Amino acid sequence: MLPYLRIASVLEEASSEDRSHKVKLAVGLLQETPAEDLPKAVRLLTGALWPPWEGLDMRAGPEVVLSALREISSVELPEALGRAGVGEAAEAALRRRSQRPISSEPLDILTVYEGLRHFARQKGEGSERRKVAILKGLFLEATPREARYISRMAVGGLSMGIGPRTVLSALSQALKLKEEIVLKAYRLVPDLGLAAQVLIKGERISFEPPRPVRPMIITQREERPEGLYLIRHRGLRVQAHLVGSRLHIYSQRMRDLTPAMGFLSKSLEKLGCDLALEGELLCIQEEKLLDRAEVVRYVNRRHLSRRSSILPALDAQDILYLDGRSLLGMPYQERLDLLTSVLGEAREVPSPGAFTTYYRYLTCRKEIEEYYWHSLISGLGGLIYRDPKAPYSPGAVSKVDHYLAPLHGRFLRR
Amino acid sequence: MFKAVINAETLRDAMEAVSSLVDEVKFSITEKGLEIKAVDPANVAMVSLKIGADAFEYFKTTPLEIGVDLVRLNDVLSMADRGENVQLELDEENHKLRIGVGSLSYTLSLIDPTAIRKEPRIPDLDLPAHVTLPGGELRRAIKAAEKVSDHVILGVSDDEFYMEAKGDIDSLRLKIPSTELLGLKPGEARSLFSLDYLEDMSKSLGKAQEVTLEMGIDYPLRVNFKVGQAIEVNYLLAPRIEQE
Repeated sequence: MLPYLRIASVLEEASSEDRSHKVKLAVGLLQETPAEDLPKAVRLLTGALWPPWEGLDMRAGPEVVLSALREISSVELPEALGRAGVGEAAEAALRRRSQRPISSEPLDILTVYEGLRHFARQKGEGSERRKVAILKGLFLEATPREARYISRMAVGGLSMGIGPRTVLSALSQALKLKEEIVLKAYRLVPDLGLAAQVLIKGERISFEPPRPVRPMIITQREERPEGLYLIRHRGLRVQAHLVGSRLHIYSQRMRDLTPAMGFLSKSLEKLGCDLALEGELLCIQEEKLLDRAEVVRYVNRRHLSRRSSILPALDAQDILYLDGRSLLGMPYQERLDLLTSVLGEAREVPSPGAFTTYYRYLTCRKEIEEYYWHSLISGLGGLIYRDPKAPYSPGAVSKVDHYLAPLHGRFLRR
Repeated sequence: MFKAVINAETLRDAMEAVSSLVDEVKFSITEKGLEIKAVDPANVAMVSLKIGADAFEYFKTTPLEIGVDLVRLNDVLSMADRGENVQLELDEENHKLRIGVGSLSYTLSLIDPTAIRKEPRIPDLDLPAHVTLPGGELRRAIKAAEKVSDHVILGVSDDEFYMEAKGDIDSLRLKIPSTELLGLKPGEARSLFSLDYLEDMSKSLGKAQEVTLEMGIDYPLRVNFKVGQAIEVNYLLAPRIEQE
């Protein structure tokens, strides 16, 4: 098992190096890591200890770290500390310990990884006391340098500069795989730890709901080509995965929003098929469409949202998976036809539940301009152009699909 | 397969001895009885507990391990009246423990035993000094020490067991000569311990007729005692570092 000290050393060295040297450091580390531990090593390097959709959260402030340190060190620690200062405080505290552990073995990456996950899982009554105890357990076995990085992770702020791009380059070199294969894995399996696991095992890289894919990036452009035009509302772009009658809704950053989606769950769960949709999450109250800030507020209330009079709706714009079959490579028009066959014809917004988006095939520029201005005057967010022949490219910038919206808050010239 | 009947109070006392340090444990069950070994999340204290098969009114099992949330188990056991028996039965298929208390029947979801922290490898400790005293007396001394400090020195010198607690303002010293102890094996011993842990342990050991402390110089403290006749409890507590 790889000692955690090795990770701490790389993180320390990387903090003052440029990207190419960071890659070199990460390659060295990954090459000496046993294959089965590689996903954990990747997670500890980046500070992303679980996939974003797992719903875990460190939920700890610097005071938890300070409490743990006070119990095991004789160093005078400050009363309060910012997140940025916990690493240095932990390092200094561990230089003068006041408590011995029951047994002492060098920390390995599994102990740190499992310990921090256990820390994050604590909730409810007495959770702060348990968190302090878990952290104390890790600190008692840690060297001062290890304690610096453990404490930073405990407050959810590693910020060491070893980001996904660096780790992807390092994985490609360490595993002797082409960069595009590693990138493909990360786009279809959008969590570095899981992607590393798939690559090491040589498993087929595929789209497997309810695991989300990295959303295709649609940018804003001024072109107005012939094609499909969809209305852009002021909602949140989400993926909705229905597998075995269980619904999972993910934000663009792949956070699981499902707990807030009681009404929408009922509407989708009766479809009786496995599917993955992409669209805009909208919120309706008294037959009015709420703005984006209200949608964000609604999803952040999670379980409490079920008691709200607001009804969530999904303006489904794409279907990415249906009954065991990935549709990512299929032309958009065909995907849209499939979507209509599953969800029915387009419905007027605002309308609760899940429905196919309203779209128009427009050919002439004048028509497109008029439709665009109509959308703006109606208080909507503009239009989305979708190329009928284009596939869905997870995580990549679409070369054809784009938004038509006022640039930087200004209206476009007619 | 695991099926057993035990006096509720016996099981409650046994679980209390463990839950004062840890919330989640692994029960290792064999035909000899039930055994728990667990280390607290802070890696400062360890507890081992053995309930012999003869402590049960009825006991039938195949060797197995199950993970139990002690907070939830204690909640269920708190429903039992004095003298009442508790029926335990493992539902292996659904990973649940069925607990019958009088006419009430609970099902307790089990934890994956592999997800529970493994007990650390403890080196064989040859602790030179042994002191045996009534549990109640030790508990009273711990309570007194808590009033002046958050840590305490336990030691043996010549023919006496001593305890010292020094706070910022007050201090306390307790001396018990061998003639007033239930047993003493003299040896070099002096170590500093956190009173938080001793206080947690004292809830159970305070009920024991005899408690044996095994000590050394800057070494862990081992505490042995029995709950009833057939339950053996053993605590190990790591020392604090005395500052100059």
